[in-house]
Amino acid sequence: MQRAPAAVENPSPFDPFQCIGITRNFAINETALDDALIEASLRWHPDRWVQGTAQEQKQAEKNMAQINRAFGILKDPLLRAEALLTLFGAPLPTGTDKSASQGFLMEMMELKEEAESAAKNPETLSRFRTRLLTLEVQALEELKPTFESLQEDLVADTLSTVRGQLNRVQYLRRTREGLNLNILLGS
Amino acid sequence: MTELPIFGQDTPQGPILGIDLGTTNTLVAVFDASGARILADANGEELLPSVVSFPKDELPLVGQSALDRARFDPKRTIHSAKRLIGKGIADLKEEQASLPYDLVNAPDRSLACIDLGYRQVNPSEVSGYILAAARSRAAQALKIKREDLTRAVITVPAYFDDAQRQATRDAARFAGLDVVRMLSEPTAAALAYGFEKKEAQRVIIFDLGGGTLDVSLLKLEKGVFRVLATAGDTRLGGDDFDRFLMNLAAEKIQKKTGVDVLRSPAGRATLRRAAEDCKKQLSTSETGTLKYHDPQAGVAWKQEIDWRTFQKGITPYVQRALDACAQVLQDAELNIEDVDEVVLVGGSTRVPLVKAAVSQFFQTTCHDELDPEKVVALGAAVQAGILGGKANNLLLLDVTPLSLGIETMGGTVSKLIPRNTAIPSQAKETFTTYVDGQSAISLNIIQGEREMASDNRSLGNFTLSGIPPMPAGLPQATVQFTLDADGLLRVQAKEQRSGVETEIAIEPKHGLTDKEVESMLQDAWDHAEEDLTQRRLADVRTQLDTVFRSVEKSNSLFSQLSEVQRERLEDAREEATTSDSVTSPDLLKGILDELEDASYPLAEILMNQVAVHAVQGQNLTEFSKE
Repeated sequence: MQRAPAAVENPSPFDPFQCIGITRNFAINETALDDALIEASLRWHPDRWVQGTAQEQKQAEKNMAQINRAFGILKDPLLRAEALLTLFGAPLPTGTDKSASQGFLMEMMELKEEAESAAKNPETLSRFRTRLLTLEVQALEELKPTFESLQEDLVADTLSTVRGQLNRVQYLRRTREGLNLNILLGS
Repeated sequence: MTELPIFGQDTPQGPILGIDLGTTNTLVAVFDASGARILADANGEELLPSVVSFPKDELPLVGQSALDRARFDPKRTIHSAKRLIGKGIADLKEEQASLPYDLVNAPDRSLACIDLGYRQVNPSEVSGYILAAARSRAAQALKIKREDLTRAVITVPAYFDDAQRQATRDAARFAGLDVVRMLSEPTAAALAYGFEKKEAQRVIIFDLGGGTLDVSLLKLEKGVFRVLATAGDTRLGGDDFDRFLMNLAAEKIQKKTGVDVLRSPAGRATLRRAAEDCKKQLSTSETGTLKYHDPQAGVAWKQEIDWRTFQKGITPYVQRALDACAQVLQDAELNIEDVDEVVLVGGSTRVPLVKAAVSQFFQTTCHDELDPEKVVALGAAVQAGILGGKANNLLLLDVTPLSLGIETMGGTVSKLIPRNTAIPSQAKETFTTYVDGQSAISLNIIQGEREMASDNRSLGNFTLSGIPPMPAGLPQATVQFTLDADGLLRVQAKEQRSGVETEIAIEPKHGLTDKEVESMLQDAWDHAEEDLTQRRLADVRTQLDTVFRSVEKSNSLFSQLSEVQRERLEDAREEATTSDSVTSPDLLKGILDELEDASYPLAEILMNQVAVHAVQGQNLTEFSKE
């Protein structure tokens, strides 16, 4: 399914940082994020508006849905990075990837082969799954300084480098989730 | 917005009730100055059996008096309505086999109804009677007029889908109650426990009831209870344990007597109670007695069951429950060490094997300080306190247990709201046409986790029509899902280019229309619990007559009893013949029970004779005519 271009119906992109009330930054403190969710929820959860007017209740429901959406994005580093990149004005990811480096293309092919052979045995599969997760976490960790520099100075080249790196993370994650599926189907 | 509360917020009246509408029992609680407490009936009884009996040409009975009729009017005495609510008859094939009453499809809908013989009754209506009785009980206990009790927090299993939640709300409307919040049972249990510690902690709620399992993982910090993930099994519970014992007994009885007791509804009902009794004994001691006594069919059988046999029989079910525990941890991306506390909820967690298995799985002692049968109702009352502004320091953040999506080309599902998403939630997706000039887009709303739409629950179809002719792929239909804090779905669709718009609340397919609820309301449910004592007395008397007659019929066999047995039976008969002046149902029930027990040896003799006669080629009917 083709996603409709965001610009058509939503001229300004959703800002999860602003919505939940924390500083716009890739590196975030999990406790601070939880605290922000709690504070926003105490203000807007429909349970706090039971005695309100119908209109207030409707608004509370809408706001809380946005808060939940924002939290869902921010707690996941990949989605958080994507959101930041969009806020920085970078293009959305496309189905076929033109910005992938030669090295990444090689890695993709290797991982694909490895996934096929690992799938034959639950032990190797579980080890491969852990490795993919480690690679994903590492890649996201490595993005931290890059995002710091973008915060200081929005360089177009850096944006497109980050875009490429996020594409790699997405590939890693999709491969890992595909493995989960195999485990479930196999049992 | 199509729906506004029936009872406006402008006239806040009595307190909001917290109701645990259970498969087996229902409890009602309130939150007041001293905290949450269960409301009892005039006799101090807190559990209201979730049973409604519908005698022909009479008003329905609710609770214990209905339960007492189960044995001799099984087809019109409805228990476990919660297992049927919001479901179609196709979903209930397995249940039908173990239910003594008959299910039929409601006309024009995929909704299951119960056939009473003289009329059909909808499971929402059955639950409505139970809720109405709970409301009356609360009014009596609080000394408030019933008209002033119009708002309730009602708990549902976390795994209830949209149709089941809608049907539960219909039941409340039927009882004159506005559901201010539908709360999931495990979350309610967490609220009841409170866990008032300073530092954040993660808590597992393991809730194994009669028919469903819910496992939820919550994070508690600063008075906010946040559900991180929930998993479960809607077809797993203590009833499975009962069924194991029932089948075991039925098999042995058939081997010994040739009678298939499972074939008759009355036999199933009797055996079900026998199995429950045995299971209860096995929760506190090493053996339990399974006994089946039916003087009319000439069957008297009993056997000791030791815990090893029971344990072996239920192990597969316990394993499935542990699988759900593993699932919930995986969903939350946490490990066993990350769990600080484990709470047991639901009557079936009293089974020692269940308790031990869960403790072992999480490597910790489980909390069961609060009565597992009351904890959900207490939690519902705490939530009622929160909503009523009496417990401002607490807040509950829940998730949806099941993914919601739309069927797309090829029969696959496009998920808009994945499971374990925090609620309330809104999500949008844009679809288009695939034929030139297509003027309508049909949307099939799907709830469930499977890849193919047909493997999941369809909540309803709706059509966005009136789209002006355009080439295929050009129209942009934006579909918006709004999942509210009760876990109920609203769907809006809009074609962006033409502005054509439509909105539905997912009701028609499994729920009831307003008109249907109104027409049900005209039935005089509010008289249902009046004159209960008289009714119950009459019911017990009928039972006593039945047993007495069957004893009299066999008086030729008295000589074969031992002296002690005969004396006991004579005494019991004497009591029975002079019982006309007894006005207390409980007293009369005592006389009935004694006569039944005293006639047990007689039934055994009778059964042996049947066996002898059967060998001689005489059948049971001929024998009993003698």
